[in-house]
Amino acid sequence: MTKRLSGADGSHKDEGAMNPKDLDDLLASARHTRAEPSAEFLSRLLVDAYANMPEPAAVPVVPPRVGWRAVLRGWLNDFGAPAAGLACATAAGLWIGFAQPATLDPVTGALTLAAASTDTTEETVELIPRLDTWLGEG
Amino acid sequence: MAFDDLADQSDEALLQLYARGDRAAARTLVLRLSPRVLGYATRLLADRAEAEDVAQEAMLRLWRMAPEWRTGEAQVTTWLYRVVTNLVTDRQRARQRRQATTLDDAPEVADDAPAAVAQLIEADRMAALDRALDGLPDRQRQALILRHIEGMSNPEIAEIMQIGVEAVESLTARAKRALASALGGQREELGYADVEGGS
Repeated sequence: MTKRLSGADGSHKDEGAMNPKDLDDLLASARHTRAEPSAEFLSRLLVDAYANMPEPAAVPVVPPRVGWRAVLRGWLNDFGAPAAGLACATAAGLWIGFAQPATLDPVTGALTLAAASTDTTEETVELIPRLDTWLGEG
Repeated sequence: MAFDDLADQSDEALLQLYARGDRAAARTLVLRLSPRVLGYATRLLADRAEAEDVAQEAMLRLWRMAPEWRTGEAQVTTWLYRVVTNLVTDRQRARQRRQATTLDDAPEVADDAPAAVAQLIEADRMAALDRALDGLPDRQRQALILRHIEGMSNPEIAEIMQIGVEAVESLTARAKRALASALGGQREELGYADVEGGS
């Protein structure tokens, strides 16, 4: 049991208590004798750390933006040659239809005249003429 | 990131790296923080196995907290000490406090080995300190360990214990007086009698 004494400066000292300096030394020693973690304990902590580690933030996969030029380029790569042929044929057909070039007139005229000369009540136009029409002399 | 580079990083920066999946940051944090957490828990509980459980639980809570960690709000170590303090308090409330190691449990060494004798005296002193700490009220013990063994500042202790700085000063002062009183009767046994006479 210690007895508490009051000093003239108002401080207190317990008679029989450990010297404050000794106590400070003891506490300082305790600071340097800290329990060191064992390898097994550290590995347990690491297992926990890895198990609870958040997944790296997933970057959303955004499909590349495709413009109309890219689409057109793709089409030309895939279907360029057939499409060009088809476009040419379409354009030529339209031109022939509207312009009616003179070089085609005799052909269609012959067909319509041949149809008109037949003495029938039915007017027929042979779009696919027989061959002998063209083989006759004169 | 290389281990050497991580050694210069703050705890908070490492925790942010950990939250982004950096395994090296996890290793650095474990090596840096676990001795302090375990040391503090061991002093509070005077039981190594139980202290390891508490330290592991505290670190586990840190890993889980990492993604939501608010930068600049608290120091990682302060947060960890607070978690350990709360975990220990819960355990001490739940169980009968374990008896401290007695002096008789100290390892025997040959009498003619000065270094071994010095080690024995040191072991006796630490055992006596642990016993005296164990006899303190919980809050006094926590404050004294944080201040004088863990080397925390009073404002840090106030944050850990969630009390005011003046309350910390009061607790540590009372704890020191009680500790000095408890150890007073063992001065000679602990090898302090000669030192006191000489000073």
